[in-house]
Amino acid sequence: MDILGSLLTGFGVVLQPQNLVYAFVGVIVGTAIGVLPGIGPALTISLLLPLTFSLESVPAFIMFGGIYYGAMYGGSTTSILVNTPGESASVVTAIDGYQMAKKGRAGAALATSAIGSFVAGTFATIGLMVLATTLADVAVMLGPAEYFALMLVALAAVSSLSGTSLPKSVFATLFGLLVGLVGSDVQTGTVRLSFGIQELENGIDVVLGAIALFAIGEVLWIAATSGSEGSQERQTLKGSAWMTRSEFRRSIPAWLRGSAIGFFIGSLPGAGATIASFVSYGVEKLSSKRPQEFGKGAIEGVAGPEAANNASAGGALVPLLGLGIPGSGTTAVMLAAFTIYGLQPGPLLFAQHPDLVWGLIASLYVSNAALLVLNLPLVGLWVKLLDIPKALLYSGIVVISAVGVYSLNYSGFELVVAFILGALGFLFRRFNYPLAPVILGIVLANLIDNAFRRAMILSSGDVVAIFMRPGAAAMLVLAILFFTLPFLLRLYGRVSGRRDIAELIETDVG
Amino acid sequence: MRHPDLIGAVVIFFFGLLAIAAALTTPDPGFGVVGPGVLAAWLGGLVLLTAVWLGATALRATGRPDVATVEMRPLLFSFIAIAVYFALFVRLGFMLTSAAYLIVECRILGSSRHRRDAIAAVLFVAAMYVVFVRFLGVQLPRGILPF
Repeated sequence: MDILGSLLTGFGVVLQPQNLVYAFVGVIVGTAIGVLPGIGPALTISLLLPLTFSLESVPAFIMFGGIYYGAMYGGSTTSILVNTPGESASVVTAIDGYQMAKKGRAGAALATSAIGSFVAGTFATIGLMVLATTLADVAVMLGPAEYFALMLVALAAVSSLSGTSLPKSVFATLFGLLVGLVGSDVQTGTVRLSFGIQELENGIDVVLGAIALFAIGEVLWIAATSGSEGSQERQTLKGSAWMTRSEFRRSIPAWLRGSAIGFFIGSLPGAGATIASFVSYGVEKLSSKRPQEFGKGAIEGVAGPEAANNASAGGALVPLLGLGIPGSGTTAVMLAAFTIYGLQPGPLLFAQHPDLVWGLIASLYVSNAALLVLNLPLVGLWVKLLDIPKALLYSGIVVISAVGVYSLNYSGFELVVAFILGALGFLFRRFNYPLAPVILGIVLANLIDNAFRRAMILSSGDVVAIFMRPGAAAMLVLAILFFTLPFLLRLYGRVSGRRDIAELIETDVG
Repeated sequence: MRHPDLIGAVVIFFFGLLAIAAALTTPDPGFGVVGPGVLAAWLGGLVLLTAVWLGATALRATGRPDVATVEMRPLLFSFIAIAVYFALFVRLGFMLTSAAYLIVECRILGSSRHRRDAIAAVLFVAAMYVVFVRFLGVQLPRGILPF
């Protein structure tokens, strides 16, 4: 079936009244939680995963689509009105968005953000459809050696693009891989790295890892640093949430550039929404006729990064759906959600579960439209959420985390594991070790181990022979390029005297 | 040691040794070319190299890394509160432990409105119970309570 026909099938699934409700609920819940500071999309999806346990796979993933887009959008409202970004990708929106709000242009900032997110989300979903199906067609031809090399590319990219210190990012990745290898080996049933603890024989669930590292680590971090947070002056929405003709004209090219930048960067493993939004901001400033307005309330400074932020969400789904390999912490959690339903994302998913995959893609269009329809009228409600006392909010997150972890396997022992990983999550954050590579490592560990061992069987135990296959060799070169990217950029920055490049690679993007 | 990354490098080095030891003691049933512990052993080796790399980077660094200041008291109390909460979650049940934890943690996080926190804690836990147990069919531990 062609893409259009498949998409129509997807819409046939998602437009059923029950599924439509799940999409809307997902968008509202995702936005509501995405608004809250410190809770990014990965944690939002992890925390809300238990809510879908009683659902069939199709409505569950339709709801996930809504949660994902809602969580990505959620941070912008509070960035603009309160100067409090809900997650790191919205940090850059706060720069000009809050300044616009202070000048009484909050409505225009919110409107350009909402419409830009809609334009970018639509652009990215079209790109996702085309690219993921093409990738899936190519991926069926890949052998274990190519898959192994491909996963090395993902890990190298995540290691080099996360955090500020390469050795720390590499350790985070290796740590995640080792945690992911704990438990029974799929090929032989042998238990490994469990130190004789029987409860570890089933391994450590990636959802448990995400909840522990992001949620419990975050609460410990808040407890340790609560005194250092200042309160922000809250701006109100005066008049209607709309733009003047001039603001609309200035926003259009920024939306389009942001969409393209966001989709491209989002589809690269490890890069993600934060880098996309920062790059978009830089591009807008460079290409603007009024660069002096940036930092003081330039509408392009909101339109571009917000579009890039949402387009990257669609881009990040390309490697997940096309290859079955997540490129970010958020998509790693989504991969875990797929496995909970006994599904393996990748080329075969398009053939075996077209209703689910195309239902998910169609739900992204619906969620995108729902965001546009719901978000501007509900601005007041989103801002009100910031009135929840911090103490209640964060202690509530621990309770939801406990329920989330316990409901995975009804195991009290897993709460102990979650507590230990949560404490490690705090230490990682305290000493600037990025967390996204840990999650990606946990989710990829068994996949990479299986691909490696199958490739070794085919090459009769010769490691070098694995990389003699042209596809695997090309991917190994790509992995090395990704891994050395920070060195190369730093070198280029030094030689060319471009301090902005050096600063960009030293920006912590988690 | 003045540089926190040096301490980190030492901890990571021992973690690498532990991983290698665990990987090497993984039994190999003899199927296939590569045993189940091989990748873990390689990863352990890479962890050791990373520890050396981090240590060398820390030794070359001119200043201290940018590490946020933390307040030890609330951190320690939160750490203990979460540990106790998780330890008693199954034994005493979801409702009791969660309500108690919420009240205690709110106090640790600086809230002084104890009555509001207690009411909010009970309402929140009851809402969670209804949503998860009644609507979603998730079985939460009852503990010593009849529900």
